[in-house]
Amino acid sequence: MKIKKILCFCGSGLGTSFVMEMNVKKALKNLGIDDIEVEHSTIDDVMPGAADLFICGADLLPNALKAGMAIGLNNMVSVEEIQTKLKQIFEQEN
Amino acid sequence: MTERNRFIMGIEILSKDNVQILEEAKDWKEAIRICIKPLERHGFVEERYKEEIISNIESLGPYIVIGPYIALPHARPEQGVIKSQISITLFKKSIYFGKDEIPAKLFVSLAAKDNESHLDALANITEVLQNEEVVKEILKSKDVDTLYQYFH
Repeated sequence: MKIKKILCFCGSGLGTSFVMEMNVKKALKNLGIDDIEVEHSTIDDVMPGAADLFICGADLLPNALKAGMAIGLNNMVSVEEIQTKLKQIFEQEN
Repeated sequence: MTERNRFIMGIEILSKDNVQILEEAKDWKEAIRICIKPLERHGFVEERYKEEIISNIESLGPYIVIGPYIALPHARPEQGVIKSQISITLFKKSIYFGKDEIPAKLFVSLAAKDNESHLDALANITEVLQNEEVVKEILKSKDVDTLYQYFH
């Protein structure tokens, strides 16, 4: 499945999720990908179909997996971790 | 211009009045209350805001710990935010979150009035926190002036 939309989420949808969105955008840029939409939101918006890939903190990963493909992050300020995990997903999917 | 009127990316959102360094806190709940205190004292959040953050963490887990030693305590605008503002607290001894005992020392506390107004400032702070070497230095700050200058 071609990933077109990524949703980063946390409990409140305005702090942690935004930090992840920024870093996901940076990681995509580093990977030379410019055709994926990235948004941030709250856990309430996490449902099947809301995005092709969900990204959150490792503790919320079980919630994300109920909605679809997901990545859980240990370090949300690390562009490197996000980039490595995104690369794995893209290799699986393409 | 007084310290209280300083701007980050055009928004008056972090003043030195809201930056503090402390030795330790009894547990993570006390740490959250300490971090939010400056925002409460200066009228940026209601008294209930800190308890709302604590109850969010209790129900959702420690989603506020965003990186090694870095926490971003925050709740929703409707959970008691009066005006957007950021406060910064550094604890010299680690505060531990959750069953995995995730440590945090630097607390960037966020009061967001809506979904937008704080984003530029938070983007700015995230840029600072992306640099591991800088974070190491920040964690060693001995006084408020030193700590404050990393973020404005």
